[in-house]
Amino acid sequence: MRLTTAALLARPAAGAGTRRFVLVAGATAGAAALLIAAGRLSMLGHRGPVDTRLAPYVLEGGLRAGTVLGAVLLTVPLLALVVQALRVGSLARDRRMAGLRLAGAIPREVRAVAAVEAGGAAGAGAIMAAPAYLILWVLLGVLPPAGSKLLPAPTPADLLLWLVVAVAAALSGALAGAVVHSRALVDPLGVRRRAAVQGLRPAVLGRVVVGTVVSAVGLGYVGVRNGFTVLPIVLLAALVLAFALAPWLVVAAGRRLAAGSGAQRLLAGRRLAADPSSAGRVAAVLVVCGSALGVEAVLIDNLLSVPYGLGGTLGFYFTGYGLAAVGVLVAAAVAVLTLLVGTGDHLLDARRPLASLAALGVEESTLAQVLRRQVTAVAIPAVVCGVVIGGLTAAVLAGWNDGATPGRVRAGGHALVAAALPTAAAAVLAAAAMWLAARFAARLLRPRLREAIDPENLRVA
Amino acid sequence: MLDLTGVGHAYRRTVALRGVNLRVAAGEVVAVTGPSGCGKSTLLHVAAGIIRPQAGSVRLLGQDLLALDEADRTRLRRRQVGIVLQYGQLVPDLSVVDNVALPLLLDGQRRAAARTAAADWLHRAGLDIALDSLPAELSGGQAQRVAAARALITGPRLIFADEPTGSLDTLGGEQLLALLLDPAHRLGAAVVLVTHDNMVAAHADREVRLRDGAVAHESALR
Amino acid sequence: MGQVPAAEVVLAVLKDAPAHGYDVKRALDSWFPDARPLAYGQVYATLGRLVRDGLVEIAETRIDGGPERTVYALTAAGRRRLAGWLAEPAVVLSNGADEIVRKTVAALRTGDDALDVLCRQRTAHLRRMRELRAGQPEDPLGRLVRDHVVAHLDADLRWLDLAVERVTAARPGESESTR
Repeated sequence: MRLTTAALLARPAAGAGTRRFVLVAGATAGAAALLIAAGRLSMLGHRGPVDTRLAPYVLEGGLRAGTVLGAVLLTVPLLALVVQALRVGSLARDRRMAGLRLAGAIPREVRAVAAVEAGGAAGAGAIMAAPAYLILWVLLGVLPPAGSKLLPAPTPADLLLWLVVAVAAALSGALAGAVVHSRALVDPLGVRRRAAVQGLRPAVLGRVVVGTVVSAVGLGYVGVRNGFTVLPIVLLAALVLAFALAPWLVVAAGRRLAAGSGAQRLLAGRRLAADPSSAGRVAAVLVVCGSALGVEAVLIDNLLSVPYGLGGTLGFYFTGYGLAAVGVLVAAAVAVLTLLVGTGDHLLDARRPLASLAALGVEESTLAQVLRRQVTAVAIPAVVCGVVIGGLTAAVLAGWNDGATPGRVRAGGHALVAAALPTAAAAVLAAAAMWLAARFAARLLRPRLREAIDPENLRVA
Repeated sequence: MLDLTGVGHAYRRTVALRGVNLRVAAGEVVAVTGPSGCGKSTLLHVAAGIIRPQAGSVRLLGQDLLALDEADRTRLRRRQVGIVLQYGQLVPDLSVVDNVALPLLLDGQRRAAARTAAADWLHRAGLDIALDSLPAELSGGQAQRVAAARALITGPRLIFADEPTGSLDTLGGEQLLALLLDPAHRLGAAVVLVTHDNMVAAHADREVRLRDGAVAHESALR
Repeated sequence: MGQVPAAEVVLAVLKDAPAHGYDVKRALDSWFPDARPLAYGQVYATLGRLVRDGLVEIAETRIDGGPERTVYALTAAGRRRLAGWLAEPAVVLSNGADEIVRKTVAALRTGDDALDVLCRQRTAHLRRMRELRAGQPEDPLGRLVRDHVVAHLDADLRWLDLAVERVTAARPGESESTR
């Protein structure tokens, strides 16, 4: 098949197709802009003079590495959003693909169409990354006062960086499109989705084991030797672990919910258990967000309890924590948006059963409660889990660092007790935020729900 | 039981119903027939209180449906009315037993009791399937019988069925109809069957034939 | 279709205007194009019986050059018989198809109330189907025979519905889209 043919067939259809394109492109633009910023920052000081109006977090080598890491980490929720967005309107799209198969396209060609479609959207997003980066620069490099600027002025070298990132984004977008598509088995007479994978597959098990071992050993190294250079590896391993385990968290949450009384819990719980991978990605992001929050809570608590006070440097610390908190907030918001996209899309797919439920006598408000429960059942356990993990980790590390002798958890017990209160406070705060987010999400989804239960959907097609 | 007077309804530009009168008595089985696009489904949706007609009045079980708000209409439907559609009405994520138990659960019954009742209804519907099978694992006939069990579990006084056998073969259709009409014969429930299939219509006590959104003729079959 | 036309169909042919025996045969052949063409003898025999029963009368006998030609016309009694026949649905038997087709075509060709005729026939069929359904024999093979009858009734009914569709589709102004 010619590329032009694939491009013709991949042109987004109205409605869900457009929505998918906009979401993929938007999230890709955001992620690419962050990567450009990260690249720009990591090249800082390698050549040419350094802008002295920049904040210490990017001027000092050690701190700069942390800032770069933060920027890279922020792309994770955006990438999760891209994956979710690639699934938007999948029912209609799969039907279209089945039509292509019926018309004589071989599976490889159908995959190519999917790849071209996703690659096109990601490519458009990659092009948009340039203006997105400029906006980022205005926000972080122009508006802040001298001494707190986080991004230096763009240089021609950034253009090269942009080109590299753009090409990479378009290519990985195409790859992601083909992979996401190949998860659904399309035959010419319709679509049979591959059954949700239950049980620990070897690949997932491998990821869990490697993730656990690497992050544990790495954390030990960080704690004992103060070796922060391995931190990126530890974080990567933790991410792998989080994404591998999160679907099980979702399945567990769904089963627990479904076991309770009431039709709402049953409907919400079974929905989660039926498609744990979508909600799982969001849960993973939220666990990471929660961990960051937990670490911060313990660090802030430590900072406040330093007996001799830090004087003028307190502001320095708090600005750093504030920045990190903003990052966490943005990531969590993107995660909730991802959840919204997934849930909204399911409403579209399940119009007929939902309209039948309404005809059966299920009130719209009941179905809205089901949606809310679907969000809270994932989001609250995920952030709370994350906060506890983050708080514990930070406490253990702090305990190690307290010790004069490396490798001994001398004050570990004490540090754990001390960390309990800030961790709990952060957990409560995060849970409340997620509860509010769920309400907000359910409110946003209400029009979609109303469309889904329209009696028009009961008509014999 | 059911009394529609002068019901009219239009979607955007197309007129679906014009001045339709329909009365259904307790224990009566009425077939609403007509070619596709004659307004059969719209009439059923109006009668069941799923949509509000733009003209006319609807009395369902002694209640003026147009005077009730959405929540009250929904509750009335949940407790007193059973509805079966042609296909695709089961919640795909729920097992068959939970699908059948759903109306009871929505009414606040305990899970165990609701599931027991649902299992009993599945048995009565002649379904020899695992209770925890998912709707996707059923044949068309099985899925329709599950849907019928779900519609009947509350002991409705009025049963609406919109082309219930539309996706079934003759034998499957007969089994389903026997299940749906049983409450009318034994308990005096009223049944409104919307169908374009004369074999199905022949099960009714009365035929109401629609043409272009109006009643073309009505005839007693008993 | 059987070979011998029902007497009432001959009455229907004569309803609008008197006709020669030959014209009657031609009309019958065109009304039922898939039936075997009628022999003149059959038509003349039927007409003779109708004249004997006072349902048809001989309007005139013409001789214009060729053979003698008789023009037949409906009597008042003939008209009443035709109307009565059309008003009464065909007896629904397993092999009642011929009569249904005869009656339906005659109604459509002659009357303005053809739709009423079709509706009455529909009701009669549905009733019969219901009766057959209600008294189902327990014996599955006995049911099978019933099933055969019911399937034929269903085929008739579908044909009747199609007839209504065709009649209404042929009428202008009634084909606007509705749902």
